[in-house]
Amino acid sequence: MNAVSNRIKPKEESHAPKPNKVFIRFLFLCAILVILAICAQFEDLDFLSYDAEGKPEISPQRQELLERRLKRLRSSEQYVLRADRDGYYPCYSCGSDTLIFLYTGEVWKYGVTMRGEKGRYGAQVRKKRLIYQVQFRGTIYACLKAEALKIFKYPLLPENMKRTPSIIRPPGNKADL
Amino acid sequence: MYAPFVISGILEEPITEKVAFTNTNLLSDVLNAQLQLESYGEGVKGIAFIYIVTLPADDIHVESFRYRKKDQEIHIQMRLPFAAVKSSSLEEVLHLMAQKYLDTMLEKLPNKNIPGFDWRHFTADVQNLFERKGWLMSLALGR
Repeated sequence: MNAVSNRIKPKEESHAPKPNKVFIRFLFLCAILVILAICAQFEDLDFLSYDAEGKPEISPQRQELLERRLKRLRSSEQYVLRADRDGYYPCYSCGSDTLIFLYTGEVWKYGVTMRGEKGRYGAQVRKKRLIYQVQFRGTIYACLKAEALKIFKYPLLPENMKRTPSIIRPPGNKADL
Repeated sequence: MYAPFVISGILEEPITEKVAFTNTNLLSDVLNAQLQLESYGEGVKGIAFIYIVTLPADDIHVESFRYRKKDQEIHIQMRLPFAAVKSSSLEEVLHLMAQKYLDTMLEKLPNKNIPGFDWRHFTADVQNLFERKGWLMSLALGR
């Protein structure tokens, strides 16, 4: 019994208060988050600045963000993905059929992309044998318009007219827009 | 990836057929038939190489060299000069493509240090293969 009580005693001593490193780290992290949140609040207050006459204007930081956003919207591209070789490709416009046979160079999909969108085409290329061809450059609006025209006029393309039955839109386009 | 070696392009309309279909298919067919990626280790299961041949004004497509550890795939986008491609014959463009492929591997792979991939052996085999095909010869003579 004595031996047992001797073993228990030191264990009770271990309950004595001592710094908990995990708790201290947690507190430190909370403090950093609070500081960041406060900084973010102050950043939001900087959306205006004042010129020499005291007239309010958009702050230089916000102006720069706007310019970047507008440049991105101007630098858009309408493209077509074409079959790189003869073969079966997924078809989202073929009713119950899920595959369609395309000859080399035939259209699989029309699309639009903006500056800064990385890796979209890479993801497609890993799965399908496709070539990306630029067809039009301009504002996002002009590119979307070019894309819509191409998708809606696709049924008239000779490559589609010769099919029985022909399809309503390119095989890779799931919807009109 | 649908094949160990994938070759593709992001191309301007007037030069599309200089790079695609004949040349991209020839390059990928030869690489897939002559090289086995598993003989260089287990680290890389696929290599996709995309040639960017667009007008200088293009600021959408950028060069990149990425190794996706999850899929064990290398994904590369490299630019060829639009003017050079436009003024070259189909065969000359193939040589430009082969040279760019080899140069990119020689320049980028040593820095990537991909685990389980013997890049020295791989680049040497690519160089030998392209030399045997005569794809590097005209460019070497032109230098």
